[in-house]
Amino acid sequence: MVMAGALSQLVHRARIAVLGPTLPILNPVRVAEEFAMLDTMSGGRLVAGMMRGTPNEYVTYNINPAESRDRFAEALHLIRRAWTETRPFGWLGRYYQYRTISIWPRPVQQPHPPLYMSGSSPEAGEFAARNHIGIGFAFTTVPLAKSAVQHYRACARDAGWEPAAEDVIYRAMFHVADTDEAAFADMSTLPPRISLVDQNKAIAAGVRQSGYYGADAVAQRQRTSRRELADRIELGQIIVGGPDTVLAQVRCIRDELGAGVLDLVVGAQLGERTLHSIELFGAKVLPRMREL
Amino acid sequence: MTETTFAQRWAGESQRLPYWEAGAGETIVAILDGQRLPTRAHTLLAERRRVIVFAMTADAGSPQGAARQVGAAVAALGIERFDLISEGAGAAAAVWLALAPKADIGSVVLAAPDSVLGGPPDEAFREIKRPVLVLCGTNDKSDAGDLWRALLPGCHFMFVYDAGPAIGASASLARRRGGTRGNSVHSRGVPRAGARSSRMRKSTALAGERASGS
Repeated sequence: MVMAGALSQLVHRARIAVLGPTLPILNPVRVAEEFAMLDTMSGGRLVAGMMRGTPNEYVTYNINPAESRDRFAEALHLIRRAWTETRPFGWLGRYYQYRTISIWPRPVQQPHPPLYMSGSSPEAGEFAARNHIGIGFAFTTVPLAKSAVQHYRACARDAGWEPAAEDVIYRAMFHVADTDEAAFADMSTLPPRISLVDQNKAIAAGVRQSGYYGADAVAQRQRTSRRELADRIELGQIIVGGPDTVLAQVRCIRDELGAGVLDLVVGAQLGERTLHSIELFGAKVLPRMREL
Repeated sequence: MTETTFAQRWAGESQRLPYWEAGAGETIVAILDGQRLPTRAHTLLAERRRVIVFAMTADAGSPQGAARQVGAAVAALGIERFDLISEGAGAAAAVWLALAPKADIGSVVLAAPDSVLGGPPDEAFREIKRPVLVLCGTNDKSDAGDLWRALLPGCHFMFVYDAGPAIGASASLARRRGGTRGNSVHSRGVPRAGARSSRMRKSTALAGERASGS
């Protein structure tokens, strides 16, 4: 939120996506109000992503992970009401009770900023489709995301609408070098990625038993499985290579998922080489992405 | 121990107006629509209050007629001061009753009020001096919430999350009124949500209780 507020004063044309607060462990009225303020500060350029969070966050904030989906759903409905109701109202819910809600300011975008949520699980895809919300994928693989997108689109059709390309976001780490070999060499110097979700085996087991992962638990847990670099690239979990290779990987993600928005995260903290990666992406990949 | 099981009795001229009563203490009068019976919410209220439930009958005619009928019955029972709760089509009758100059009513709760008023909206509604709480389900797709907020600009409006147009109704009635999964507090009696359903019912009842000033 703080970073987005700062960006809103420096970046004057691009939309600013906050992807996003972990709703079930936060005060939803506060989230609604802070997003509305960001939308106001940016002149209506906010994109609002709402997250359910990861198991370790539930442990940290002492919230039962078994309640995560219901808490998320109620918080999201509450936030939409807070953005759109023109008069003060109270809220009597399962997890949230407020005598009076009347946020200030109201969002600039009407009825409210574009909404996204994580859509990796079948339950999330169904909820997003039913509530006309865009979906995003992070820390997953292209095959898993492809299956989830198909489910989301089918549910949206059942709900009477057709998601556009920009309703699907895919998040991946990236690293670009002058050649494929240089990029792979850079990434090979990094230690194996550690998943916070699986660090504490007792917590991981408890969360699994709580039903946090939903009906498709096996696939959901595969998302964070430890993999070799080559496998991660092959599965679209990370985009690595020279400019041509990276562009081909981006095209593959677009073609497989129909994702209209690519959310890129710096894949390696390697000082000058990371800065060079960002410059290469901006100069040699991004302009050609517009032709895809 | 307070008796919270509702007993049916008769009031009004010729003893033709049915009502149900349970509990002890300060009185709450509830006006329900149609042939509805006291629900679990009323039973919870009866643990702390004397609760008298009237169902609007067809022979009452207009909401004003129903208000006069209930007002007379309450007076005949010797009740001078009470709080008022309505559900569904009982809302208009409750507001008319609350506007009656002789009525000593603490506060008014309109739970899931109908958007059909049973007559033209009256400017007099705006003059209501009692605190009014309006409860609407977030799954209620009607315009009832907006309508009542416009009619009662000074009311306190509250959404009941995941409830439909029959907040306090039985599951069967909620289904008859177009409810689906999660459309009524009482319809969520499936095993997975059973505990929450119970908690929610209590919350709803207590909201009424708080609004009624106890």
